[in-house]
Amino acid sequence: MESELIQSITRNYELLLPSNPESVILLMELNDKIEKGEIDEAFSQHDFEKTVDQVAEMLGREKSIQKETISKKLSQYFYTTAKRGHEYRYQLTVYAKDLVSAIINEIQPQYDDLPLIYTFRRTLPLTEEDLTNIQNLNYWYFNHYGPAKKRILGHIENLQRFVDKKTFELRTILKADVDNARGLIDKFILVFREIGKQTEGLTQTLNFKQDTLDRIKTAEPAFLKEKESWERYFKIRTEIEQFFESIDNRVLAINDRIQTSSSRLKTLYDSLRYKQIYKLKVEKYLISLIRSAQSVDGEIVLPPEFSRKNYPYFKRKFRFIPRLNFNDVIPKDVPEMAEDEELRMLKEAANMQVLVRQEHISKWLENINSRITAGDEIEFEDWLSEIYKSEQNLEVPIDVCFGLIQQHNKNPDADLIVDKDRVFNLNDDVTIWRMKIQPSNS
Amino acid sequence: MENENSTFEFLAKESSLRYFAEANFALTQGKHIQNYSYDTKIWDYINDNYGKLANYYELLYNCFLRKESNDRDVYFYLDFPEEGFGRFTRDRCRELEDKHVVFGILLLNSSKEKFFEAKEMTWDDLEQITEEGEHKELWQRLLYGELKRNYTPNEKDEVKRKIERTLTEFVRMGWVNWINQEAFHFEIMPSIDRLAKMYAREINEVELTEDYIHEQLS
Repeated sequence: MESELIQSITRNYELLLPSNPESVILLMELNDKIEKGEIDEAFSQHDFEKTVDQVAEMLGREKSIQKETISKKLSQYFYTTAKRGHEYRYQLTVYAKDLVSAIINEIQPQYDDLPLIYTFRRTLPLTEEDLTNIQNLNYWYFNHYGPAKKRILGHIENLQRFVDKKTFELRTILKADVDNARGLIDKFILVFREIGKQTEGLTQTLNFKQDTLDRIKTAEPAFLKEKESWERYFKIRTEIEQFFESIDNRVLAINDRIQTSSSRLKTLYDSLRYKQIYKLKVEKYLISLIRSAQSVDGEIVLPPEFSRKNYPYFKRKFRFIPRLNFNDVIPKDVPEMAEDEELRMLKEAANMQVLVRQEHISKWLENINSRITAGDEIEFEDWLSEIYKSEQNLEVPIDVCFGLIQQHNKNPDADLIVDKDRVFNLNDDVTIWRMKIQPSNS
Repeated sequence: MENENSTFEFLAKESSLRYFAEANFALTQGKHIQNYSYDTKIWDYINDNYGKLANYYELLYNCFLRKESNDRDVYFYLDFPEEGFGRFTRDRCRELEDKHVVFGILLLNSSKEKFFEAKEMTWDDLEQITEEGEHKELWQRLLYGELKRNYTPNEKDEVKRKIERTLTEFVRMGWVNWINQEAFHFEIMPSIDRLAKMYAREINEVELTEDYIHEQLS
């Protein structure tokens, strides 16, 4: 670089660039108002001062800001003073407007909605006439190629930033622990749609660029007549080649990034597709289960052919005998058994009754035995009637009968004869065989 | 000897003194441990000592402590070797009952369907499947024993109680968690995926299963 230029920059540095944010924002505000038509292209002192106050308020600064000081600093490179009638007016320089645009574009890049190929076609059209002679080519170079370069580079830079931003968003989406996976996919699609819109025709761009370069190269014979023309042509061609090469690298880098993002989406898509196929298999298996299962006694039973699976189930149960320490036992008093008085009396009465009966049986047996000993013949049916009449029950005469049988059945001194052919009717209910006991020597 | 000592040294650690017993009881009873609710501490313990515990069970129980995941949720369970049941012989293992297989696969299917939503179900959801779904006749024949136009409230209550008992068994196994048992509202846990692993071959070869059924029914 020339030393004079360096010295000039060093000398004027403080005036060349705004020294504080307030100045930059002031310039932006003024430019914005001009674009919106709120103030004229050549605006008044009043407009300037009002805008200064507004900027001070925006930034929370004190309103008693030195307007004249600011004005002086900006007057060197950022505005010119123009007389209109009796009044002096401000006019922003191209430098000021370009600086403001550059800052805004850097901080909040405005992405072109149109694809890159459109920018190329719009800014870099090369006609046959442009290649007929050096003058036309020079004109094209300065008036089309020159401005187009900036535009194209700006577009590519923005595109790079845009793709980087969206790629980062994709990475964030993939890592996010979102519950709603459908939303995740929607975000993916949105990002890719935006990228797709911006990078539409990348291939077309590269082809257009190559085509332009080829046409310039093909036109070489037209510039061979004069050395100066040839040198100028060669310089232009070389510069364009280098510019296009730099674009190639950038565009290819952008393309690579998009491919990487596409592969991420493809992975997600494949993963979801596999999950969907697997889910269908699970559903089919469920249907096959319920189709083949039966209800047996209220229980679901699968056919024996269905495989059964086992799992561990070990539930330990520890049984132990509780330890009792009898030393510490305090014996309780045993309560007296509550006796049922009524029952006792009934039992006593029953026992008495049995005793009485036994006594009577003994007496009757004694009586009959004495008669047998005396040599009498005993017809038991007579005695049965008498005993029954006397005792008013059958137990005594029956026990007397059994007693006599026991005593005299094997008694050698007496014969016990039972006549089964002749029966005796005690009453309507009782009929007995006749039994006779007679002494043996009779 | 030294090697043997170091293999089981982890049992003397503070964390083992606190959590090993609970973890062992749960695992040997067939439970699937997830990082959820009351099992969080046990899950942490198993996760931190996974290698050593896996070794422990392989050496002493002749079975495997598995660490699986389902959509980033990790769960642990004891698994048998390919042949046999390790030391869990005789009455130390259980066969998954047929009704558990059927309802388990139903819940697995529902879990897959709810890919984008919370994996919760209520009695209404189950009723919709059995009374209004595409295969309602199959379900009703299975649950009620016969296909009728209408079922009495008692019959429906009985079916509801049966399913509730099955779900309670699944809670014990860690496949399901009651959100509100009274309201019959439950959550399908990630470890329901274990059924997919148990029946992986059958699910992947479902076409063969279908052919077999078609053959049997025709």
